[in-house]
Amino acid sequence: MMSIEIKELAYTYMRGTPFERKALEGVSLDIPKGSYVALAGHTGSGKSTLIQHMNGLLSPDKGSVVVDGTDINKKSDAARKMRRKVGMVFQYPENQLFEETVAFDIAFGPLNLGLDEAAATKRVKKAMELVQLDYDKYKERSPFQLSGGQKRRAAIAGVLAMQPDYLVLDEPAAGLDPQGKEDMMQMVKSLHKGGTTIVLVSHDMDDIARFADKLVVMDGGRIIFDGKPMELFSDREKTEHAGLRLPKLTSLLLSVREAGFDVDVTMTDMDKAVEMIAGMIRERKCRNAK
Amino acid sequence: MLSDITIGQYFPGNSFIHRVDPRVKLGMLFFIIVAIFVLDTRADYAVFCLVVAALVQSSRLKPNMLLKALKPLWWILLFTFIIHLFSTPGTSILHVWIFDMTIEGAEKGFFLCLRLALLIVFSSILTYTTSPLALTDALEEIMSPLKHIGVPAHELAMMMTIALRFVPTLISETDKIMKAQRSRGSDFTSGNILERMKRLVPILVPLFISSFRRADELAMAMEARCYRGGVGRTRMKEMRISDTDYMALFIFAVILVILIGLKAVGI
Repeated sequence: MMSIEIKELAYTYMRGTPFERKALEGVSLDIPKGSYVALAGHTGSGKSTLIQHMNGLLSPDKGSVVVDGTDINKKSDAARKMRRKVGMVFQYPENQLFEETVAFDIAFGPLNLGLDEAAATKRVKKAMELVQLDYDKYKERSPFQLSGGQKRRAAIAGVLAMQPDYLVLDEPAAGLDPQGKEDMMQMVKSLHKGGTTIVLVSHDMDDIARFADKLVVMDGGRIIFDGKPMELFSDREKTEHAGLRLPKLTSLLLSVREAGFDVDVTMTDMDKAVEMIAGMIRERKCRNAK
Repeated sequence: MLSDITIGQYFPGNSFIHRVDPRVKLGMLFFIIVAIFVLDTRADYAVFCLVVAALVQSSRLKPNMLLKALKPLWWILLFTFIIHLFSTPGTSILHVWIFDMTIEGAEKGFFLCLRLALLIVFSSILTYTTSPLALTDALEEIMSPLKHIGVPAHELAMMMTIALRFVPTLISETDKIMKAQRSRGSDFTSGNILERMKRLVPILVPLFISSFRRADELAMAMEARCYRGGVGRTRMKEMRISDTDYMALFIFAVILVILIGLKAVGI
């Protein structure tokens, strides 16, 4: 099986102290290879805890995490290798930068994998290309001299240089300006096109509707929705019940439908939707004129 | 993981012990420590142990939390015991090479260990039942007479408060950075000491950078709220000596009298 299979996961923080807190309970989830999965839910709903199980940073109290057929919590070389197939980009990944130059920092992961310098350099080049940082221009720079968005891209390149099959990103666009945010989302999209499976933690329903092919919603340490994003968003009540906001475009399309137009509410492309609505209005005007 | 560590070691509660004014508690701890050193009869030790039991019972602390407090000192206690066991002259029970194991040594070692353990246990009960903020406030109040001779009591207390405030923040930050670097294949658990120290660089550099940034931001935020040191500063929560404290002091005085009485009688 080529996927991340999560079965009946349970995890409790600070077990056995007065501060004990259940973070996950009975979480089962399938992340097929090649998919683009969005993970949504309130702060404290267990998203971060869940993603940290995906590459073995946390080991579950109960349940299992199986990546491409290997249980990653087993104590074997195969399990250790498989954990590295899942790349993890934390929130504000620029906080992990530490080396003197961008190239050294990105090479940290590959060198940890035991690659020699030439192979590592090759990977650095490729990773920088993927995040659109010019290798010759930036390799010698200190990561601390880069701009905010560049720092973040350098940090993500550090994860990509591990060449993961699965990439988990925890709000990669947080704190970026609108343009930076759009660039980031496009970059993730192109990574997905390049064959990397994406798990994206996001609070932005517009991004989720546009990019994800599967949506998982968490609440109180449990999964309360698992399906196609539009299955949820096309139902206003269900979306609100899940504690989420509708994507702007879906909200508009639903209103248009409620006004008596027969529109496809599952559209995610703004331009096409505008065209369709304009066409319908024109049509109705023509009919009324007759 | 790191996030499972409790530092400051405060366990919130609302017991009698929790409610006693931190200044009173600090004062009592001071006298208890002096008492542990001065009063060394067996009956006194028994009373100390009873007091510990009573404190644990009334503050609803779990006894194994006290054992946890003693854990870092385990080796020191063992070492102390063994040194005394072999270096005290007296009736020999066992002869090993040039050393004599004596009954007197065992006794002396045991009581010295007990004394050390009592010191730690009493201090831990204080930190378990008093929030770190209340403690630094109490320290400031206690040190405030020293302001007249130029001791910056308020500044010292503020530094401690800030340091304590940022301990959990730094721990969670360290945890996050460690996880990020582990996701990049860094392994902190294998290799020799030199290798392990080298592996700390990817954690320490980001940690220092974020600490400096945080300190800067905090200074700015404090300045924006017109902080200018302790002169003329009032408190939101005034500490007042209440009936609870008189009660605690009374019980404490009774215990002290018993302890001194036992020493005087010489049991």
